Amino acid sequence: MNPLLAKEIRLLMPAYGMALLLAIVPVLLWPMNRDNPVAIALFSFLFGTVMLALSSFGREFGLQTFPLILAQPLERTRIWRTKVAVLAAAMTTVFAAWCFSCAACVYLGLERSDN
Amino acid sequence: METKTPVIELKNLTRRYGKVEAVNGLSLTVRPGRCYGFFGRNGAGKTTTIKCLLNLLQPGAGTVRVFGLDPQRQEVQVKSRLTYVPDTVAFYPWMTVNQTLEFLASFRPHWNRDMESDLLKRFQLDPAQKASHLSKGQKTQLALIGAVCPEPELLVLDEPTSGLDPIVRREFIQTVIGAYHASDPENRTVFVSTHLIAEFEGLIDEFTIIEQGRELFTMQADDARARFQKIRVCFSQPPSGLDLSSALSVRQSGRELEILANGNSEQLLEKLRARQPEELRCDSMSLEEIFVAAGTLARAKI
Repeated sequence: MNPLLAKEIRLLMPAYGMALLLAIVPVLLWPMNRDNPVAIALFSFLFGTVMLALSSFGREFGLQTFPLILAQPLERTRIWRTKVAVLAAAMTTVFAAWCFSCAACVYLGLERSDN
Repeated sequence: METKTPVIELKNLTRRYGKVEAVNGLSLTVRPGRCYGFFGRNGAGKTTTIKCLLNLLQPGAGTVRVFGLDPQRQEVQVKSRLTYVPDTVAFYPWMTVNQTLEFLASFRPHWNRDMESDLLKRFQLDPAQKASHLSKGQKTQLALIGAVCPEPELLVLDEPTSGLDPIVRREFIQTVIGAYHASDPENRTVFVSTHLIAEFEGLIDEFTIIEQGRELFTMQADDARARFQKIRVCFSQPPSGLDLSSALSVRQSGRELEILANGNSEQLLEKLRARQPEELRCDSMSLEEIFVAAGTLARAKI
């Protein structure tokens, strides 16, 4: 695998794992209420994706590795493009996981009904 | 006569952080094959200048050329010919020493594997050890290996030995940087920013001393040693009425005087000999002593 891509995936892994958990677990634990769609599950999903987005650059800043990567003979656009592509792929899969868990909830009859 | 393109050329480089002028109108030229010292106290603007060279910071004004190229516009061409060891070394913590070197090698057209294994052994670095488990000194060693193995035309070192113990420091400077430079002295240039000047004494060909973002002076190391002399003189009685106002500095301790001369040692020696001293010695100042005297010199305005 492209070392830059591999690095980016590994860099995002902790935040990705957390975002996945936040997208799936709350949906199953606190199923959405039909009358109150903006529930904990949606908040946690959004929180997870925001953390994921911040993590892409934030971890690099936190680890102080930007000078290391920027000192390499690489086009900056290539560095940013790789970051954005990995982030987009991670976001998409987290969103898909959230949709899937919501659908699973409905299918398994976990959706809370007040009536 | 062939005139080679300077490896580094700065003209009136200026860079501010808010209201603070980190670098103020700095100009310098580094010719190929030189081991160039860039000396200055903490906060003098050394790191900022280096970051401008590498396009890690954008200059506020002035021009920066590396190999005759603009690092902002021709970033990849510039960076493929140089390597950089920053003052704060950091690696991805999940990578091992070997993986880190593989990662760095993946961006380089050339990588000297023999040199890599030799240096790993010499520094006693375990290739399987995680970068996060390395000490500060070991991280610096790893960064230095990563900088030397691509065999670049220009090696930019920003306080490279600050985290190293004295034995490794000496080993690194003399063996690694010295060997790197000596293996192709015509084409390999070292640009080293440091305040541990004594460690680089034998390697430096030319240097610039900066203070508060401004150049104090640039000199060939040999010319500097010839110009700045330290005179030690001992009289039978504490001297009085001796006019040494042309000296850079005079320190008296009883019958002994230590005089720093700036290009006028002969004139001072003549005056001292006329007083028939018991002992008179004149030595070249080391680069570190010249650096320390630079503050005095700046005030005296050479």
